[in-house]
Amino acid sequence: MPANSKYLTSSPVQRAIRLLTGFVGGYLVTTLLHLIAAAYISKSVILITFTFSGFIIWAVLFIVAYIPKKAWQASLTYFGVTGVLALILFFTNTYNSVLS
Amino acid sequence: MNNRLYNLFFNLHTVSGIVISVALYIIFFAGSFSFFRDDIIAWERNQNELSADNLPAQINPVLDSIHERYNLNSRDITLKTYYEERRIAVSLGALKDSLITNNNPGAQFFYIDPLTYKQQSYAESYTLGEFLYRLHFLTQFFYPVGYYISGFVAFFFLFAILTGLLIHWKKILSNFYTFRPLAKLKTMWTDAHTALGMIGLPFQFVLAVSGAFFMLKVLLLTPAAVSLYGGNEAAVYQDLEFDVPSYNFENKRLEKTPKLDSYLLKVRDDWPGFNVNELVINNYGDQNMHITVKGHQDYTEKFNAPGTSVFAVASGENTIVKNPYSDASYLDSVKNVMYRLHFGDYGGYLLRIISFLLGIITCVVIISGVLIWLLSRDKKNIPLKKQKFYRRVALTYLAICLSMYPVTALSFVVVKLAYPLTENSIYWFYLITWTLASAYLIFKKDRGYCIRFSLLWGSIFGLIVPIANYSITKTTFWENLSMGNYQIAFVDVFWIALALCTLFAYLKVRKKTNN
Repeated sequence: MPANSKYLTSSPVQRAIRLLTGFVGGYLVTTLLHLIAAAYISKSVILITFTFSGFIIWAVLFIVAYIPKKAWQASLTYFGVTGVLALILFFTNTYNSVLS
Repeated sequence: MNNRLYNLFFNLHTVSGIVISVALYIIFFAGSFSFFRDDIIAWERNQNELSADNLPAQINPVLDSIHERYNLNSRDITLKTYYEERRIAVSLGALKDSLITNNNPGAQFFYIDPLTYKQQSYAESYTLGEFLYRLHFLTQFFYPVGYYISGFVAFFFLFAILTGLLIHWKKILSNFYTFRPLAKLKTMWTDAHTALGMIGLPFQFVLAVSGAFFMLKVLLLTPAAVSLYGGNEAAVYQDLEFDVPSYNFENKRLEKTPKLDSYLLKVRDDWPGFNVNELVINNYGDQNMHITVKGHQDYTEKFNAPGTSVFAVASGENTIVKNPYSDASYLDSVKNVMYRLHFGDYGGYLLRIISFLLGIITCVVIISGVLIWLLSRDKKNIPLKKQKFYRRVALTYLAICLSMYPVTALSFVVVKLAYPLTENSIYWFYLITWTLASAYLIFKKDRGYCIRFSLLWGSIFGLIVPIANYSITKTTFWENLSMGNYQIAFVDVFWIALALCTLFAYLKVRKKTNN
């Protein structure tokens, strides 16, 4: 019993978007979340945690990217969140460097 | 979970699984043998370890003999025994004092035997144990590309574990108790896949995560270096304590270069039950000479107990950087847990044997997964051309994976009979026989034959392993056992047990095909 193909998309573009969202988007969101945590809490503690939690959360986000019915919904969410997190990290870094 | 998601996850599990299957099988098969890496090496050299993974109690004679050859003055020196081997790994930094003349002023890396003081380069001391260990992170395939491939295989393995867990979640308990070996072949493979996958789940999860940690951590730490450390990558590794100690060279000779044994003795007196397995000497013979003694409390006493003690020689000052008796830092605990869980080397032979069995179970899960993939596509309603293609893919996969067993067993025999073999000969012997065996099995076009061939020849070569050892060393495994050479005896016993198991399996499948 291969998976019932009526639930799967046959469009290569759609598939590529999902894959890219899950793999790249998942990676970016995971990394940024940890980097922000590291900037606020403790670099060494968060970064060593990141070396294992990073892969677990990345894999989970990879799978979650397939849940929304439309591929563009997943992409928009992931890359939107990436943008917001990147801004937070940028301002945190600027703020920290001004302080020091 | 609705039907759409179920089918979606099912498809993700199938696709990720089939893409990584061969590489994952190679990693797990070679990795399972790597649990016994040190035993295999001891067996090949017929050289049991002397003091587990500790540095020998007398380090001075070793240093003296290196000093004669390389002149240690002003160098940084690291002595390490990170495996349970007799040999000590030595790395020497380049001479810092330009007035010293020596034929080899640059940096050096070699192994030295603490009894004979014989020196060997990495290539000279190459072994089948090292080969299998390296194969399990694909060093041999387009280094360093193989490292990243193995890292991504570990990551997608994690992906496959999670999607597999999702699709089996509802029936995870009932499926675990279902085994229908007498029903259709496909239900048997399915039952084996789910039940064994369930048994191996925690083990596989831990190995996937720690495997990704070993091979891909640079992927996570590089962005950290860029954004948090202003692009200074060394600073990240320093913060995470992956760096080696370094001190400035003052270029003023010490009046008398001290005996190192006294420092080791002091550490061992201060911390009873402490295993010293790394000794770093900075600026040998210089005013700013520092001695760093590293190790850990024995695992039978405490699991997370790294210790580091630093001596400044000129002032005689002793700084305890890490005390094995106090609580280990979070950083050290995480690293230690990652390594120990992946290597399974903290609980003696029992733990290694269990780890080996779980590794082989994972191999069975992978193979049964490939067979389910094939059998669910090997149906009349599928176009003949596609059917043929699926069969060819599955056959190729099976041939490559299953031929590893006889090839590995044969390699054990050959490396024993032709000891010592160089890095290149082991490398080419293994890869060429493996290619030939796979090509032969693909050519035979019979999946059943693939299985019977590997079981039979694996068993035959496996049973020859202890005989080959006896014919060269004239020592049987019971003699080795009584002499306390457990590492050497273990490999003989291990192959007898493994070969008998697979021989039994062979007789079972042969009977079945006869009927």
